[in-house]
Amino acid sequence: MGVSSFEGGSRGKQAMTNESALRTVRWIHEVRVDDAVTLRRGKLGSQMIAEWPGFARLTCASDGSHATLRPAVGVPRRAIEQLRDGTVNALLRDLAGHLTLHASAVVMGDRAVVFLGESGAGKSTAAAEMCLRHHASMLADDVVLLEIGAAGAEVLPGQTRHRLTHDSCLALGVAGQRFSAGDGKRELRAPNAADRSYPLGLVIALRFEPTLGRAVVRSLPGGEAARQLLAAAIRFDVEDRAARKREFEQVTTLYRCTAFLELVRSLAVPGEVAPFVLDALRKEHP
Amino acid sequence: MNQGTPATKLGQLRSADAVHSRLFDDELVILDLAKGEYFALDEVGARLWSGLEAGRTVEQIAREIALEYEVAPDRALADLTALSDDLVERGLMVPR
Repeated sequence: MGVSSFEGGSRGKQAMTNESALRTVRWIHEVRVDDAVTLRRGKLGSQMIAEWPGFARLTCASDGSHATLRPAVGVPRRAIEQLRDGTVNALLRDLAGHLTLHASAVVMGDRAVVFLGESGAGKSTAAAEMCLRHHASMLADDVVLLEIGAAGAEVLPGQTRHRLTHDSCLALGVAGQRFSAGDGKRELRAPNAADRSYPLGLVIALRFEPTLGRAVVRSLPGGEAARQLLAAAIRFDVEDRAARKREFEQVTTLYRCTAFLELVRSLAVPGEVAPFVLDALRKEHP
Repeated sequence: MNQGTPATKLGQLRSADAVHSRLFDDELVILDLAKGEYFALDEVGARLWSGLEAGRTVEQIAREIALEYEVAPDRALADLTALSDDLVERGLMVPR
């Protein structure tokens, strides 16, 4: 028995900053990777600012409207499109009151399946495996757009391209296209992309545990499911109490209307995720 | 303000104004909007929380837990008092 604390937040190491002003922008939150700022969010009067230093800057109103994304000089157009369709879309949706998760998602049958997990847990590869080998339709590679109401949760169509590491491409037997977003990933257009929203049927949290003999699937305890969902939520204004309360309610509703499972593997084996997903869908939605 | 004062000496407790909680099956997840932090309590911790919210004292809840879970009353009271102290120290619970 005891109280355990956990942090909410979106991708990468995050740290609050008390930096008060830089060109009058009040920066309120930073994402750092290897001690370098990769994303910072702040306010300039009534405007919201998100900046990927050396890459692009997003300016919008506090409700996400009137958004302008300005790329830095020399940034490839495709890289900006990828940012716009992914994280920028997520940040603007947060301001507009919608929950968006750092996760991947596909449609199997008439249900959406969402893959959660830390960076490197195999979310993108799992979605690609389902799409390339099991005729699933793609909903998202790394940014899942959700509509949550009293009746349940729906996943909206978002991204249409898989973004995979070289190792994942090799494992899945695909070439992929080199893509200069700075992370060395390769891009692959999904063979089938969803063109409408689908009810959420299943959330699978992916995790590697090197000492494990064989892959195991288990139901995810409520507190751990909440921790993973809140850790995956993509937020713009972390200081906005009303937004965080709303997000908490949305995560609660999401948990109550959806089956949550955890798939723990010792290492990435091609073709390993699909049998668990198909079996779980048969059980949850016969 | 109440740091260092045992919860049992503070009388009845309630959740702080900036705190919101929701059950996720048997576990209680707590959002502290003041600090932007989340916490989780297991089933017994959730029972303590809901009991305190309902206006019962730590002693009353410990007696119920001791009966239900077949643990020694002294042990139940010691564990729940320690958890209550933790909740007060973190600012999640405050005196009524």
